Amino acid sequence: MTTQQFETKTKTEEVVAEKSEMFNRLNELKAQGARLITITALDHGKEMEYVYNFARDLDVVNLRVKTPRKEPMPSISSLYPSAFLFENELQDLFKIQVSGISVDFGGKLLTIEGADDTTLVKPAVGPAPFIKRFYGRCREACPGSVNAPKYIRQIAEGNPQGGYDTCAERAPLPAILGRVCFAPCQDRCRQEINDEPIQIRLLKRFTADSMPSLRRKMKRAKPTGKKVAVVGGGPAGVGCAYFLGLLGHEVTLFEKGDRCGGAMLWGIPKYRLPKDLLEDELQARLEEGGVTLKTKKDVKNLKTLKKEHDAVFVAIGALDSYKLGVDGEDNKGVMDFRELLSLVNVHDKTPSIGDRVAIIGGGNSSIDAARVSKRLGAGNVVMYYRRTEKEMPASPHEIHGALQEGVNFEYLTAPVKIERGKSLKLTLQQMELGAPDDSGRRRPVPIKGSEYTVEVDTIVKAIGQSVIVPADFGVDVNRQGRIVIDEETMQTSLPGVYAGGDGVFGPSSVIEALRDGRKAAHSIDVSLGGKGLPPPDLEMEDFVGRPPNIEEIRFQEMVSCRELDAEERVKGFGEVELGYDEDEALREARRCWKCDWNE
Amino acid sequence: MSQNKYTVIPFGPQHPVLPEPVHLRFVVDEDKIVDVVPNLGYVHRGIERGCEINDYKRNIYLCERVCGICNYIHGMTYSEAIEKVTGAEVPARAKYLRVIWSELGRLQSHLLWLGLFADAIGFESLFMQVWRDREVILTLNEKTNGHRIHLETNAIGGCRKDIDESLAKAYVEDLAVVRGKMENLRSVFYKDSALRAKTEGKGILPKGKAAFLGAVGPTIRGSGVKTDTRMTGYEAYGALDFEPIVHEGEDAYSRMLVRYDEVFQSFDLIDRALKEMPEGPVLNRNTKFPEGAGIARSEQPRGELFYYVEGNGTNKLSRCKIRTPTAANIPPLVSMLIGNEVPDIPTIIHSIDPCISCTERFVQVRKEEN
Repeated sequence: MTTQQFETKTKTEEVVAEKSEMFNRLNELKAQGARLITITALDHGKEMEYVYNFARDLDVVNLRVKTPRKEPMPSISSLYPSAFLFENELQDLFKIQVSGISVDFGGKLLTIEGADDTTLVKPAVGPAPFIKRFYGRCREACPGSVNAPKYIRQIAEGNPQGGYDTCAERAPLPAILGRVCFAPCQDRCRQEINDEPIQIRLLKRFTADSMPSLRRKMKRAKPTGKKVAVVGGGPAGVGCAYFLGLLGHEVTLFEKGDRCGGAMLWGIPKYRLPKDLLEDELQARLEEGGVTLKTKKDVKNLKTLKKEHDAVFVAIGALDSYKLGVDGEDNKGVMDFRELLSLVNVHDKTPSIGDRVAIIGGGNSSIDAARVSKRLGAGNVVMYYRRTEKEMPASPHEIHGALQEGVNFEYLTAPVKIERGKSLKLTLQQMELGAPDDSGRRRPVPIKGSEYTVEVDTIVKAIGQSVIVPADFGVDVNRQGRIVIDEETMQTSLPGVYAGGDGVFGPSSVIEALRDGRKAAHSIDVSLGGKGLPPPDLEMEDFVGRPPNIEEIRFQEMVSCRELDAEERVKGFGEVELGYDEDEALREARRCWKCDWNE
Repeated sequence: MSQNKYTVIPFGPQHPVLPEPVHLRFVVDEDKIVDVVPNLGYVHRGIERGCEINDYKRNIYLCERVCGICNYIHGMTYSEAIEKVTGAEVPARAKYLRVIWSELGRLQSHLLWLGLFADAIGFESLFMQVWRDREVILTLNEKTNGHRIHLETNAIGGCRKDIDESLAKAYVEDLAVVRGKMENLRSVFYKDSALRAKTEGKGILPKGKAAFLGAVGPTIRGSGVKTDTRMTGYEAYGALDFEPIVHEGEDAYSRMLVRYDEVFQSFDLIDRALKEMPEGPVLNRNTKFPEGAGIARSEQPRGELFYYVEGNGTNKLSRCKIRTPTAANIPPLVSMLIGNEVPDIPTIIHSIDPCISCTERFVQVRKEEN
């Protein structure tokens, strides 16, 4: 018999450890680079013996730990993630407890609930068939989570009035939003792959245009007998008052000026949002909610309001402007964009601004100021912005509109000095882009000796708005002067006082203000003992039907909106966008992919 | 609104791409996999428990049925574990025979897998070719002991069968044919652009993570870790200058290349073992009952196989614990799936060569009567 001995390079090492020192041993093994092979248990009646098998290089290490059967064994899955499977297996096989397994099947790895002891095989059952129902990407993108897919569908089915109601459920100013919303929904639209998303904003406008009257018959809840005061008649205030009114509260709205609307009134030019329409829709909402409107009431102090009401909602907006911080800023002929826009939008005046107008700033409001100046008869309107077009916060659509109307842009330019002679002398300096700042945009750095002077008739400052909270309000404000709130409930530092809108978040959009108003109305109602407003739901019972054939509609072109000619536009303040007619709206709504379809 | 951001896709226990019952719940964000929850336990057959009931010698045949594909190695490793406990000595020729049949098993398993993998990525013609070539090996199995899949040539203390001259000639000639055919496919496996596009960069398992999660076999060797149980030199591997095959790509493609290259390594090992095999008996009859604990490790086609046996001096074992490689590869699988896209799921699951039925051979303990 031939017995040839082969050299084996492996040997087995036995380590016996107490349960208390088990983890020390495990850590030692881990430090030596040992790999867990498996865990075995031996059943000695009342006592269990656990064998942890490790591979260390080519050797095997067996770590043996004995414990009473009833004591739970600590899991080692934190040290060795692969242990979870073996530990679950042990739990099932030996009916013992292992505590702290990373993925614990709770003794149900091998069996399912209700299986008897003779069941060897877990029946192959999966979860119930999954019902696909989504919010839709547009709805997810919307700050107010307006059910856009639903009203687009309603338009396609020939029920635009229903679409108006759908929108007003979450954002109660569809006619206004249909003209001024930034439409973040369109950026997320799946049709966007062709650079031609569904024109959700224009479709929303169509729902409002198709309403015979914006005043609807709404059913108010039973009166609760609670009183709520709302300070500020902007979108946040009106939205909050409307929802609270519908919930049955007695709401009084206090407005500083003589008309509601806030920033929508003074800030948005008439060519975008006709003022009678604005008034009409706001008034309709206030009537539907049964809200008492008190205009020309400048609230300086919350004490009396708090005494007379059960809750107060503060939506005071951002009414102050940032200063340029250059010499001669207070000269005659230098105006704030708020001043200019208010004169035109609120007071229907045509201020004489001369022929040469310089606008300083690069936001949407500066573009508004420029386009308004053009309509006021200024021939030479130049916008000075200290960064480049890439960093400009204004939306590309607006920039394009301004360029069409003949507004000139000067990039990388900042004002240094303003002097008053016969006309205004504006000294400007060239900039170049340096390192990025906190906002992630590249910081402009002045180029020395590049100063030059231009002569203008009017200078309009439009570099942003800030918040001023009356000192007697007594609510906490942050470093930027904005009201501090609990973002969950919208409550300020004073109990019973809530806040929202631009006064809290700084200048933002109408839809964000409406979101705040609705959110505040919800938490005010809850705090007053009501059930609040319903959260967004998926409406599972609302059957959407078969999805459309995407390949068919994918390459359909966007229905473009009719607009006034650029020449025509600068002559007056007529609306630039003319909206969809019925046929166009139908065509556009049928391009929708129905991302929220169910099956 | 975020409550509906993720979708849960159940995968299995019955699924067309995976003829084995594992249930995975994929949490996906659009097409991207965010989390995977594995759930097992659909096919346990009570083999570990059966090992405690049967005679320890007959357990070899039971253990060979743990896996249909890598059956020989299961029986061999069980025998090894018992031999360690009882102190039985295995003749040298039997050790070489065990190497030959292990590698033959690995060959048919790898060829099966290469075909399945081609099928999973939709490469039907490759699937057909590889499986056609695999038939030659199954015929060799039949010539050896009369069965196409199960060899059953093991016994405690050696082998029940020997390879005579005419059979050895058939081994050499037939395997040369398969080798030539596999060589022809080299350009496909290494260069085919469609195959590479579907597997390269899919299911990344970084080197450090592979070791941390305890991956074994081609799965860890595809991540550049040089580890193989055959390096320990069990049976006759110590005399055959074994070097593991390692690819550094860390992805599904790399794991496929490891298996493809191991096919040629197996041809070499069989050729060399057939040449160097000494003459002599193949079995030392063993008469002692096992008493005490013993372990045995071996390299399966899917990775390291581990047997732990505990005897009590009777003809029945008090414990037999089997750790199959797929059990060790499930945590790495979960890790490599996360971050990939839904269409790549079949490719990645196949890339660990899962054998779920092997993993789940444990039994639910029944109530003893009275």
